[in-house]
Amino acid sequence: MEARGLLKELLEMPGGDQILKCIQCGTCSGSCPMYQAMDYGPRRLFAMAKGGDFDEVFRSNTYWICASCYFCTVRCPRGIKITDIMYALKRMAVARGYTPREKSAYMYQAFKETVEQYGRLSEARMMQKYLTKAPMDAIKNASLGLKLLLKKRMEFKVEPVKNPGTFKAMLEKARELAHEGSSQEGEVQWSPEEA
Amino acid sequence: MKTVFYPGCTLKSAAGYQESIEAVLEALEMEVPEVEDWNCCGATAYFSLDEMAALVLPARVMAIAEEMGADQVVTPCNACYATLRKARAILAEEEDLKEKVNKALGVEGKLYRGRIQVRHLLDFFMEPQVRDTWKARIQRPLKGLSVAPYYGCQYTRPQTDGEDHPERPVTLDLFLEDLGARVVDFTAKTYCCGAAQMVAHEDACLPLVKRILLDARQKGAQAVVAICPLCQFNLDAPQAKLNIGEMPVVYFTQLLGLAMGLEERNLGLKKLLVPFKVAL
Repeated sequence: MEARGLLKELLEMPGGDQILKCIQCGTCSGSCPMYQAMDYGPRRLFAMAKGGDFDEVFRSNTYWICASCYFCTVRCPRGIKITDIMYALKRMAVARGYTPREKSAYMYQAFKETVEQYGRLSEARMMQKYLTKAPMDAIKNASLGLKLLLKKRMEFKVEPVKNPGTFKAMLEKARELAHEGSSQEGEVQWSPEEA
Repeated sequence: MKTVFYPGCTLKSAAGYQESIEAVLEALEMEVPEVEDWNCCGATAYFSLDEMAALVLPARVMAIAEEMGADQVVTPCNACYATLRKARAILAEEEDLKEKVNKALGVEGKLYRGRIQVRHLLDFFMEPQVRDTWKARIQRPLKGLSVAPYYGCQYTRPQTDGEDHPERPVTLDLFLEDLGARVVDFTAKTYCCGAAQMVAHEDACLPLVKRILLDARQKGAQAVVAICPLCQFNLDAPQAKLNIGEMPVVYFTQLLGLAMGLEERNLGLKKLLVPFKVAL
């Protein structure tokens, strides 16, 4: 059963078995700063995961909205590493072809592409890539962009690592090793749909 | 104890953080060499998409720092700090992952041993010896300035080895008191600003920023003090959209520079979006 497989996968990641310890107290959802923007809070998401309703879990925006503030993690009375589970859900969702509808997924992808290219991040370069996927955000932030430009805080020139070629090869090696000895299919080439 | 500095990608475009760090270290005649050929730590993006690379990126930074003979690597960014510490903790526990990470680092002839410590710049300045050095140089204590110490999330959560409380830390409070400032009782000191989600989910993040700034104002603060480029940006940049008046958001190193009597123009204060003008 697919649900069983996914639950097993979730439980097998470091700290993932803790999800079974969840007592549904709701401290996580009550502490979450992004709760308002989520389809479900973490508490409800865990109930759905434990119940095997992974399709609904992966279709939700919850784990993409997580801001990684770790408030839930430090407060959870059962010691569940909730933030890390949110990260795992993102990776699992992408690998399983649940194409994220979420703009934060485009942002992470733009971030990753920039780093892969230069070894370092340039916010301006990342935003260029991101805004091609979410053009409305460009209009919203035009005046801020202008202010930053005037303050000489817009850096388009990236100072890359000394050898971007070997750097990229290192990341490719990492990707190769990640799938070594695992029964999972190889990395899914993922290109986000338009926003 | 040899210390090296990991600036992280956002320091360069931050509003005077880099300038003030350099000015202060120069005035103190302290040399903290930069990690050579450093790379992005991967931050929240890599852990979201690619776990092995998410471990390799911070491991590369720490491996280079180790190669330079350093005992600790110091970073001015909460996200870099949390990411490096997270990778360090995972690799200390998972021998198998560490082996794989080193195979990847091997492509560039690098090796991560796991001996290096990771510290935030604030903690570095609060090391007893360093603290004594700058305290002896304070010429213009910030008397009469009320400040709200903003720690953000990832400085205290969750990989801190219990150095400070995850919700009610005090390190920055103590630092600011040393500068002679009045530190307000800031409830929102570790509330989340929305971090990178400000890019994609501004609507959800603006109320978070508003709550933090209003708390600072209600407690009588004249400025919020930040210790992270992203926190500072998120609190400073959207104020024009909030209609709650202006609240300057400065870096702790800018205040240190002012208290040491360094020239304002060397502290990058003009790069702040909400101007900081307090007669000291």
